[in-house]
Amino acid sequence: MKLIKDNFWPTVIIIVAAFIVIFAFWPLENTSFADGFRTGGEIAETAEEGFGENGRLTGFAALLPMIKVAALMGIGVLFTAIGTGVARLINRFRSSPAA
Amino acid sequence: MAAIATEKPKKKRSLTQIKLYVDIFLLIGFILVNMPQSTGIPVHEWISFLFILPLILHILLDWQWVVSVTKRMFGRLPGEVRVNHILDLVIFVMMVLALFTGTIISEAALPAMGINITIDPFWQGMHDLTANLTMLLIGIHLAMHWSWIKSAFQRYVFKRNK
Repeated sequence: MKLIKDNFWPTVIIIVAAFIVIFAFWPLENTSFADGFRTGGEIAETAEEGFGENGRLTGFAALLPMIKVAALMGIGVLFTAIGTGVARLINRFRSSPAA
Repeated sequence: MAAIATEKPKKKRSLTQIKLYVDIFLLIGFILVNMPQSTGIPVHEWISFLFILPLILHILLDWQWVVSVTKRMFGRLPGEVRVNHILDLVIFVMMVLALFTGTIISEAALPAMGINITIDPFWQGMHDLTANLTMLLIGIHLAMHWSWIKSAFQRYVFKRNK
């Protein structure tokens, strides 16, 4: 009971925040930015035809999307590593007696 | 009395341990959700709906941190904590958008519930964009919490106490 009581309002806040995000982005549907997605291109074709079961990769090729996930997440890790390194260098420079 | 004596004492799990298990489950779910070409669209869509539960649980387990940092956001706060909080907020927005756009371009889950929607290429494009951005941001999120992940793994998975 205590668990439900403690987590009820945080859950409500999370759900309300999610709806705020959705309603904030919904008006984008009627902008020229949205129209850019609708006129031709690969996305428009995929949306029209649907992904379908035929688009599913099988065998060894089924692992390829995992490489995409790993690569994108790896770029994030790399950004952080570079950012942290730069921050450390700046801090070292700031705290050095010469500076 | 004898029954009490033979009863095995229940091992209470620490909050860190629970957080670690939820996070492992969440990461596996996240990777699976982002492989629709391998899992197929129906599995992708149903896993995405299920993914909402551990995602909310992940936020709830750190709710005290979220509340305390939000309160001090415009006051004195270490730079790393501030960056972390902003990053978490952006990840939340991206995940909500990815889930929402994924729902309104649903090809299997919603039709199975009797709801048929015409797919708008704009929402399809936004779904791809937000999903890719989320993967990038999750990489940053993992790297920023690397020391916690490492120590929790050493303690609870490899059972090594420092």
